Amino acid sequence: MAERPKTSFFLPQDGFRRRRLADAARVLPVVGGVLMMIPMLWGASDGGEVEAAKTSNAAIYVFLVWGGVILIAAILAPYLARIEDED
Amino acid sequence: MVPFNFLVAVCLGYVAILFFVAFWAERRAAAGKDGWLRSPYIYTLSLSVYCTAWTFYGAVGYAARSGLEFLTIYLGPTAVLIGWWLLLRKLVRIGQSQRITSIADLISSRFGKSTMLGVMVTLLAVIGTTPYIALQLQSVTLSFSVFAAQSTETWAPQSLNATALWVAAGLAAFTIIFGTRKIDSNERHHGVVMAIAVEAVVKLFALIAVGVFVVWGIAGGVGGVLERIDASPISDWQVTNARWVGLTFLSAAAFLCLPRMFQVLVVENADERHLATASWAFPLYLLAMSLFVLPIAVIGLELLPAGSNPDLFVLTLPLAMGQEGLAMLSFLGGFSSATSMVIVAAIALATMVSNHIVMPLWLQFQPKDVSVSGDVRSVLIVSRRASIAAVLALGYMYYVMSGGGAALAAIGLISFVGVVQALPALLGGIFWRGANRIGAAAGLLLGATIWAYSLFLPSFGAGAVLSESLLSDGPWGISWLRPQALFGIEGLDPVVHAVLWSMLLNTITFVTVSLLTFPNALERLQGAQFINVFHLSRETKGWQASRVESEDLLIMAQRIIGGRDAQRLFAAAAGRQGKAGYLPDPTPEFLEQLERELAGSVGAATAHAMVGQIVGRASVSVEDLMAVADETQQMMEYSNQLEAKSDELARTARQLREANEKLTALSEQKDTFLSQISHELRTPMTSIRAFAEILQDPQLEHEDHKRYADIIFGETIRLTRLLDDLLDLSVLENGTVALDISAGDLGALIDRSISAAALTGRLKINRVPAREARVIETDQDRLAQVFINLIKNAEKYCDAERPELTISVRTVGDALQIDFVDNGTGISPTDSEVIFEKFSRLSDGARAGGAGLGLAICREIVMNLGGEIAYLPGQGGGAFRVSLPTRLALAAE
Repeated sequence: MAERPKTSFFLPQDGFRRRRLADAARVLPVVGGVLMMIPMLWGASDGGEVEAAKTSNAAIYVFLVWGGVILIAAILAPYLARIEDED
Repeated sequence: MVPFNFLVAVCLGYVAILFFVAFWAERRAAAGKDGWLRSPYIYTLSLSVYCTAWTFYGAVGYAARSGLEFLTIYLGPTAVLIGWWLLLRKLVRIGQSQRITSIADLISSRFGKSTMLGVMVTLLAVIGTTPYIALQLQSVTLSFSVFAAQSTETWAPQSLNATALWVAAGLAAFTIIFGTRKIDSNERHHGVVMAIAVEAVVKLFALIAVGVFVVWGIAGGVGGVLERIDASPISDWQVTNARWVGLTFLSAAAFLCLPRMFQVLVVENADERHLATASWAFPLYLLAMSLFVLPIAVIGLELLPAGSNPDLFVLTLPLAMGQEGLAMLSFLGGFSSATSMVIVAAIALATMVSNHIVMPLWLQFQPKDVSVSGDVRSVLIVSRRASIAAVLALGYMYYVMSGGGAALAAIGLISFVGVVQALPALLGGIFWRGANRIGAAAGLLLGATIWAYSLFLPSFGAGAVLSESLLSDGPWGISWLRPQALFGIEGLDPVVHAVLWSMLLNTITFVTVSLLTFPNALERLQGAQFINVFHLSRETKGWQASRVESEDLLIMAQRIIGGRDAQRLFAAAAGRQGKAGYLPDPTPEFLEQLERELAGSVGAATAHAMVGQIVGRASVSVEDLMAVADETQQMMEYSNQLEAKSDELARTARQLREANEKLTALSEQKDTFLSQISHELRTPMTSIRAFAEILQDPQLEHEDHKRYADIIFGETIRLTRLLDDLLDLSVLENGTVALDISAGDLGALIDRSISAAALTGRLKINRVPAREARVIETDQDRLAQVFINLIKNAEKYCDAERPELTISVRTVGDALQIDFVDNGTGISPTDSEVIFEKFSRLSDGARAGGAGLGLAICREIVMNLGGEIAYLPGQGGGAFRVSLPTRLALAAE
């Protein structure tokens, strides 16, 4: 089996990969945005039977999502920058 | 206890360090050792001017009042950066390719280098930013006062104002020194950016230090903090959906539209790839900045006496715990946040004010010929420096006049709503070609008006600018127009209310007016440039070659970008044109390049106007545009035509090939015929000659004499008939035949033909006389000639033992069909294609006895009579059909 060169995953001529990468870059803010809208659903219990989510839990959720999105963006960034070079 | 003088000394020391850092960075850059100054991390840190004192101190206060809602201020920018591929990338690319100097310049440049739009955006930015600068001054003086409250000395109240004044003056000095070193505002301010990066680290470090102290020093670790969070009154806060969404949107929009953010994001960007790093690194910075906000707020509420200002918890909490060093660090963090914001905002605003307001005005009051007027360069520097001083002075005045009260604290969001009014024009400008300057101006104007009416003016409090009755009942008692409940919709949060209506109506107006009006030529060109920035590397072709004096241009350029740079630019351009010296030909390309260089200093609109003064006119006309469009259109048409032509050629070639085949066949027939006809002519001629010779013999018997003479006579008749036929055919073919039209009975005509055919009696003829009883109006003799020929042919060629010919007549509409069908073997399909051709004779010519002209003559006659003759296959023998109109139309004659 031929050895794959390190850069083979994102070869310049690999237009398909590049476009999917750009797709990922476009989708990420949308997904992040939707996830960040979820806390709005928690505040809905005014004195009802279900207790509203604890603020500490809400904070942990928000920071986890935030950190996760940053992580994914950090993984994508070097590859996207390389596409930029080829533009 | 921190003595006042010590505090001042720390501040001065810190500022001195900033000066040193900025100075050092400028030196490094000037020496060309700016490698790591251009690092993406420096760029990321410079974006931290977003985190002002309002966020440094205010976020904790915000959290203490509204719980997690403070996060929206950070989530908006995070979304913008995470989505950099969609928007920021394009914005930065446009900024670099068009040498954009500010957000006002971007909008003005996109909409046809419109001065009007530049002025509008600039004014909006000044109005929106001045309170914000006042807010920074307030935060600094407040933090001073915190130390004062702890101090044994008593500070006179006016010393707070004095502090603000000194801070403003110090910032002005710093900004003027490092912000206007380069006249080209499109170049990076290395010193300023470096200082801001340092400040970014200081404020992050300070906030995290306080946070760590609070979490592990007071609350006893993460678990303890979480418990206290749930126990604190902050937990009672519930998410308001409208505010959560509205404020996230607002902060995202403001991140793009704030003049200072545009400055660091787009103008100071040295390399597009830095965005890729910043896309995750800056959200990370924001996350770090907000991580400890909630713990600090919770612990502050718990430990500090009720009624203490939560906006200052970051400072007062360490002080209350006796951590003076930490408090000092925190103070520096707040100071950093305030100063970096003010510095960048002042630079951004000064650029906008001097490029879009001062320079156009200055140009207005200049004599028409700019090349003999004063030094633009010094005017530019002075105007920029004066603008910086003026902006800071405005901020200070605003601070003093507003009294530094709580009203100011709310100004952060209010100011955001003001500047985001530029968003529709900005986004529309870079994504929608249909957007035009009238639409942008209308939307901007309406949005700004709604903002001022529903949020900005009411923020001064009832009775301050808008009267109480107006606020509660609306103008003239129209409740629909109440500033904070437009269209009668009450209960909305004032900020969300203002964002909703101003952005909605702004966008709708922008789109509608753009749809209804027409952009001018330059707008269309610029629009195409902006929207297709990733596909076009070509610049706008705005100028046409004209008799511009290059020398005038050089003189002007020297005044704006300086002698050395201008000469270098001109010499390089001349070199590219293959000329020596400093004066290139004023080609459109060169004018474009020059204009762009100038735009880097004075903005696109002014640069365009200045070059325009020398060149004489903005030379892009709609006609030019149409010409460009036409060119493309013509190319497409040409290629379509080529395609059509090639199709046509193929068709013609096919036709030619067919014609050629036919010609070849005809030529062969002709050859055959010629040999035939020479044979036909030769045979009688030979016998005529032979018998004529015999007749010369005097001893010839009288009887023989007569016999031979008869033979000669007969042969001559044959020859004559042959020649007659040929003549007849040529007359018919030329269409010069004179027809003798008369009405007659078809049956009688056929009778006459049969008797004229002089049949031997062998051929039996079948007819249905009743069907033949029709009157036909045509040339009777010619038609008889056709019939005779067909009947004779049947007699000659029918090879049946008992030859029969059936003549049948049929009426089809206005036409008559007369079929002649015999019971012989007929004609093979290949032969049937050529039997009507001249000179054609079927293979067994021997039996024919004619010259092969009969059917050709028939065809010509029938055609002359307005009908047609065809061979009918599949009738069990030779069959010909003659179709004729019952009345010959003579229209052709």
